[in-house]
Amino acid sequence: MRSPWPRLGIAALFAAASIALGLAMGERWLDPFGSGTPMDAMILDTLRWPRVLSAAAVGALLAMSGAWLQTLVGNPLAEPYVLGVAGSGSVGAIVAIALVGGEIAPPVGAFLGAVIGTLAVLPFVRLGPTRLLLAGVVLAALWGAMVALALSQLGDPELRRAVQWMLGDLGSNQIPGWLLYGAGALALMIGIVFGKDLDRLALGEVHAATLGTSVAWLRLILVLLASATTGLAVAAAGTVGFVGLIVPHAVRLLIGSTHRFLLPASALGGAGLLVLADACARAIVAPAELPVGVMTALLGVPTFLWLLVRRTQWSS
Amino acid sequence: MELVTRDLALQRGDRLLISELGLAMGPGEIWTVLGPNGSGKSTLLLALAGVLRPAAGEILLDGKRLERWLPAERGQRVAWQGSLPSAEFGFTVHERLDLVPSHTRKPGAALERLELDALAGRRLFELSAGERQRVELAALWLRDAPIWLLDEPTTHLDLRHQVYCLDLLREEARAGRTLIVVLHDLTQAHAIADRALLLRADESHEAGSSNELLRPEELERVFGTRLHVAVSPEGSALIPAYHSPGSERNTE
Repeated sequence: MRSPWPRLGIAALFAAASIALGLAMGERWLDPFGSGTPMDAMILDTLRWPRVLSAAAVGALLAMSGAWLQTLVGNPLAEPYVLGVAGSGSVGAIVAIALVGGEIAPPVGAFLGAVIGTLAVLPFVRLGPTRLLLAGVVLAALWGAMVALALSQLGDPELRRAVQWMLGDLGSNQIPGWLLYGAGALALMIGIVFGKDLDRLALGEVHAATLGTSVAWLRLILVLLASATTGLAVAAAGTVGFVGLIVPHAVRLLIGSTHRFLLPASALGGAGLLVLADACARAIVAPAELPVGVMTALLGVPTFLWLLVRRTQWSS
Repeated sequence: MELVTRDLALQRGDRLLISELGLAMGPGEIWTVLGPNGSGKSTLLLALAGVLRPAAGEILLDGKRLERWLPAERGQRVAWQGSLPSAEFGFTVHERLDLVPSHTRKPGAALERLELDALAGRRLFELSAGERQRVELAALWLRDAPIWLLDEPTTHLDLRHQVYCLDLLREEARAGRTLIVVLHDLTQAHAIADRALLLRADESHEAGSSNELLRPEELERVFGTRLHVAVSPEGSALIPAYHSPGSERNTE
């Protein structure tokens, strides 16, 4: 039996290397391990470290959320936004930008919106994976329509702000770091505690139930965990796409599928990917910035399509 | 450990499949459940596994209603084998067996018992249907549950492994386990079962000793097809009367 531990170590190295790169890259190339001017040290401490750490936390939250939702709906192509939680978060953020304004408005609005989106999807959880997925897709479409409506009513400065937020914006994170790291660590621990039950759920609901897992409870825990992590990630950084879809999928192929490895490896992989994407977004057109959601798509989509083609070869 | 049903009625959607079913299944017994498609065989097993709520009546495990047991405790007593699990998520054979609650038996022994040693590190979606079926049988074997529910255990298996599987089931029943086995092959049913439950296409049924119930006349009525009895020194077989090309539609 090949052991997944060394591969988990590689995921950790990837995350660490991305963080080092994220600290070094930017408008100016800096040495993250000292030997710079006091000015460099200040840029590192006040700008780059907070940004890199929040990117890492958001990436980890999104990747874990994706892994949970894929298991919940029994479909490896699900992602954190599939239940509409991010859509309702966007509605909340845009409404807050329009009505209240200020730095703190988008994250608070997004989190409240995510809570509303979670409440909207809860009644469908007990109907089983397929109908839950359909309910989520339809709700996401509804939130999408409301986003379009809200955007159409915005004036110019607010509209720019809203679009910037929707494309993913790690530069104006207002959620305190300890909250992001704490929530991520807690979610990871809960996920690992239920690891075996999650594995059983991945075999199918009937299999899980006959193996002695309380499927109804597990579904509820999963929806709440995934919604909380997604809501927090969206509140911190807007709607950053692809991390939650690609990372768990890649981890399953490269490291393994049991949740006690899948979840920590996804967290590390998601952290690494988003830090890397954000570093590229900051460096490529410096001093301007590309939207990080565009970067994750540029990095993620080709990788994902390649994995998809490989997967077809495997299963046919 | 005894599994008892009283006035049990089972429904799928608004379709009543089984009604007024009263059974007592005890240690060492092998029950076979036979009937046409849609007569409620798999539904009955899911209800006995505690996954599907009865429309009426009750199921008692050791005298206590099935839904009163905690899922984990019920899972230690009643084991179920049915449709192949999802292979979407890329579990290996070994990882799949690790998900089984087991106290006395070890995954390595289960792999050996079902001749799967060479496949232990493979992912489920790399295996053939027959190999995956053997993985499911290994997962069942691994559970030391006193009651085993099997939904077509020989499906997908090659001939040698069909025989192997039935031998294994007989051996487990001799050790005191209760086996409830859905089968489509009448010869296999006849070979292992001492009790039989015949489910008809309407919600009626008949239960009793397999020697009495697994007679050609009875089974022809239940399945609505003609049967041949093939007798050999080593036993008899019940075979559907297939029409071979060139033969008359009505023989005998």
